[in-house]
Amino acid sequence: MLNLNDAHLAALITKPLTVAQARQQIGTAYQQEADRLANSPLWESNDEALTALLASYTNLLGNKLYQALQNLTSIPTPFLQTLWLQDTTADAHHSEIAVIQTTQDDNNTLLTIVDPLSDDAKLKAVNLPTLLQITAADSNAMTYDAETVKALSALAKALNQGGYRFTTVDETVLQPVNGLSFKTRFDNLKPLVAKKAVIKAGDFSIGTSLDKDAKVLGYQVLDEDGHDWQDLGSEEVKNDRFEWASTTVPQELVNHRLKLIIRVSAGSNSPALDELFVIASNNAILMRQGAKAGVYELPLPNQKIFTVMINPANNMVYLKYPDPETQIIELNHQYPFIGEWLKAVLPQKRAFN
Amino acid sequence: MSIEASLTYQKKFFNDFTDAWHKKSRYRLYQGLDATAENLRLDIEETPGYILAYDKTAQAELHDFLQIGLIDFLRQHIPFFEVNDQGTVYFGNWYHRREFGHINVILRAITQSADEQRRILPQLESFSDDPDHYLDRQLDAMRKEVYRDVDSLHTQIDNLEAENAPERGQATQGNSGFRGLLKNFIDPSDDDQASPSQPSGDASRLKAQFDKEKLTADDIFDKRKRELEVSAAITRYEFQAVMGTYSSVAEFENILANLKDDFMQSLKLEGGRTHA
Repeated sequence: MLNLNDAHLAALITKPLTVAQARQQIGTAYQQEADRLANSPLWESNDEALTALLASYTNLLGNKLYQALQNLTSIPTPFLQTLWLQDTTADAHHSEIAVIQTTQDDNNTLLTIVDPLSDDAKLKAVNLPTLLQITAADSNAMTYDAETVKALSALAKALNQGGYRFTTVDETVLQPVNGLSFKTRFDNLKPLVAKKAVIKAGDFSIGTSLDKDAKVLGYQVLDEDGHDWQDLGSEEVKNDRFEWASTTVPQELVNHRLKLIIRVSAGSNSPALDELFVIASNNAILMRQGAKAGVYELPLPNQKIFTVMINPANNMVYLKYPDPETQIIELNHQYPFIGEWLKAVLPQKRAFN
Repeated sequence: MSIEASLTYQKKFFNDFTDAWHKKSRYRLYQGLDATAENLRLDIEETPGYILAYDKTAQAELHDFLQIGLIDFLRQHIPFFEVNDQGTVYFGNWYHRREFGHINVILRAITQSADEQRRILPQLESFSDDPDHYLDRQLDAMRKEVYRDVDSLHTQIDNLEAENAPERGQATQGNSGFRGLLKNFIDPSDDDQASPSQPSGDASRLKAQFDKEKLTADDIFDKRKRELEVSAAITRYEFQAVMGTYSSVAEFENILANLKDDFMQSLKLEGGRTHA
């Protein structure tokens, strides 16, 4: 149901387009036509016709994407020759294009582009290399040979250039490190502890430093028998430091060790960050504090900075890397600690999530 | 000293101190504090009060002025120390970096008031002795401690089994030790393994206790293992920072011990340049 008399549409069909151009221009053409029908009393509730319209444009986009991919020099020709695309349309608003690799024995769906004509289109990995495969001790875990992995990586990049992205971190390692995000758990109630001996009766103070984003929920000042002496003094939080001071510490506490226990809610208390810290330290990579609270920078030997940002408000971890195209598989190849860490905190490990 | 001589000394001292303040010479101000402490046998930290007639505002002004100098010096002198404007000294700029101490402006030293701070240098020394096995040694020690009761129960069970062994005659090798005992109480009717009822009851009780304690110990072990790993990672960063600047932990400790002398030397040179 394409109006081939429309010169603009006819031109789209014959002209070679990149992935991004195809998505944008066919998307716009479809939207215009869909809007026209949606505003027409005759067509607006004709789901079957609207579904057919979406199917036609999805099919056209599939063909143009196929053409665009075949023209790419970044993907080896032998691999391109095994690819084919299949579009399906479920209803007037949902369609998909599957990217399939054919083999001697069967058809292997690599990924699907979900709702490819819409602004919130996304990629969904079906059979693409995963974190578990690339970090497995068993070399047979990876079902693709090295050449195919390279070609798949280039294919994913080509689709990324069209603005198509995977949406979950654990579906495949063929997605850019930059911009990855995932949920994690925060130990928001980790206690901070400081101990100090009382040398003389009277004045006494004990304190510890707090993280910038820490919120004090409560505290205790315990002696060695577990009695709380908090009421003997008062607390002050100043310049990221918590201090409890008293002027009336009794003689009986002399030579006792008082223990200050502060319950804080602090963004930095995350098992996933601790895991990264331990792994990075083992690999002689510094995990330094960034300029802002909740931002940690890992300067890599390649002079690039891998950044981890946390947001305790929504329990999310965000990753940043200066090369927008570098995929997990590539960075992991260079610095396996990245994969080691991601594997430890993903997917859905209970200790971290 | 005669009254005359004493008053002359005091007059000269206060003239000098005033001049030092006007010229903003930290070196000469510290010299004044040091001389007062020595001559009057005062604790150095009491000298600003004595000189400034115990006026809190004046003491705070002197303290703040001197503090800026010490912080500047420290930031350059030990580059991996992060010193905030209030004088808190942090070891490094990494995640989980520790508070090393707080500067004492009058003493010209870093004081460590908390146990956690005082543990840093001994940990560095220990790490430096054997960087590759620092964590392993701690994990081994912790494992022994956490599993002490579990191991003791295991031994008791083994002993109990040994006592029963003669009654079973030549028990097969595969059933020796703990596994044999387990089989013993799981299947007490087994003729070959038949043993008096008393040890079997003891064995069940011990086994139940063993299972319970083992579970608890496993939990504690996992939790403390992570704590030790994080703690070792912190010490490793600190060690790497130290070794990136100095030849050894001992040299770093030496630098800390000589902080006051090095600071005064630097102020002296700075003064020389200013007045050149």
